[in-house]
Amino acid sequence: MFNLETAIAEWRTQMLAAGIQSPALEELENHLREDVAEQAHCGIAPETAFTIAVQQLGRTELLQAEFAKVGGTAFEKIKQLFCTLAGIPNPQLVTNMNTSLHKFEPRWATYLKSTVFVLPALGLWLACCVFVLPKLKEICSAAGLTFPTAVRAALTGSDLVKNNFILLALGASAILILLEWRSHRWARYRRLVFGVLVFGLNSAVLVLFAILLVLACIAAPMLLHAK
Amino acid sequence: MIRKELVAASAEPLILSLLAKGESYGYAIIQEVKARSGGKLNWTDGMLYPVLHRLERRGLIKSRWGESETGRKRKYYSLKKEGKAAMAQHHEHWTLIHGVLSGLKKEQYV
Repeated sequence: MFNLETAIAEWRTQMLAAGIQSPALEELENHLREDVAEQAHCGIAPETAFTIAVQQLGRTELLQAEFAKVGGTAFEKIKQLFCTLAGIPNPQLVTNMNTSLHKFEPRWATYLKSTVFVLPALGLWLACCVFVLPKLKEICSAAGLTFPTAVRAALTGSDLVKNNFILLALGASAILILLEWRSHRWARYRRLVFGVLVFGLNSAVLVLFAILLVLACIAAPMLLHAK
Repeated sequence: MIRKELVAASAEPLILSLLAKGESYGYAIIQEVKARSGGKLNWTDGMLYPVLHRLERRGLIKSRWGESETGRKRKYYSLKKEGKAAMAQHHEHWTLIHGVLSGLKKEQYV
């Protein structure tokens, strides 16, 4: 038995695989639905109508080539790059319109994965804040090295997070509980949000370590000269 | 059957002129072009959208997401001031070509 929703969901997956993305895909989907409805109005069976409508849209690779020529805005390109780096090559698929047809990643899987990916970075960062940073500050002041403004801002930010860690964790949990409890759209965006957040946190820790390493490399020879 | 190069070249002036009458959306634009040409100007439906997006990027038209009668999201396009100027230029060029062509045709029968 032909089911239009299933057929459209399959068609969407094919289009995404070919590289046609939202919001162009939403536009094409609407076109398809309208064409099928119009044909059904003229008494054509849904299955035939769907096949004709898809054919009339044109060959997928030609369409993709035309859309690629238009290109996205700079913001869209950066967003796409960020999501790809965060391990989500197709955020459109993750936030699909057809909630009923797409199986979302179960809640526990998202939370478990995020925790596993965040914990090492979090542990390293805390250890670094407690053991490495005070020592480095001592060395730098002994060597007469003053931190550049950007570095000082980064370190202050890191300190702020460390000092208010419990408060921040409580706040984040409260927001999560609220979202899980009240928002019916949250399920659609959960994986995307967590993917991007975990990637962002890991990157921040990595950048912090890089800064510390550079500072240490600069301070060490200065310390030798100071003595 | 109209050659595809001519179909492609005429897409932009046709879309701009259609939108000059008022806001519209992809499916309606295609249907209207089909009806006005007596079914002879048949676009590959999907190809309209990249053209619309390109016109929007060039600042000739603008778009907004609205709702259809059935409550689905639908993207409406409308003409901007720059688009009107571009349309006027298109009309000028097409009228010129048409004038030259019909002049030559008349001379053939004299």
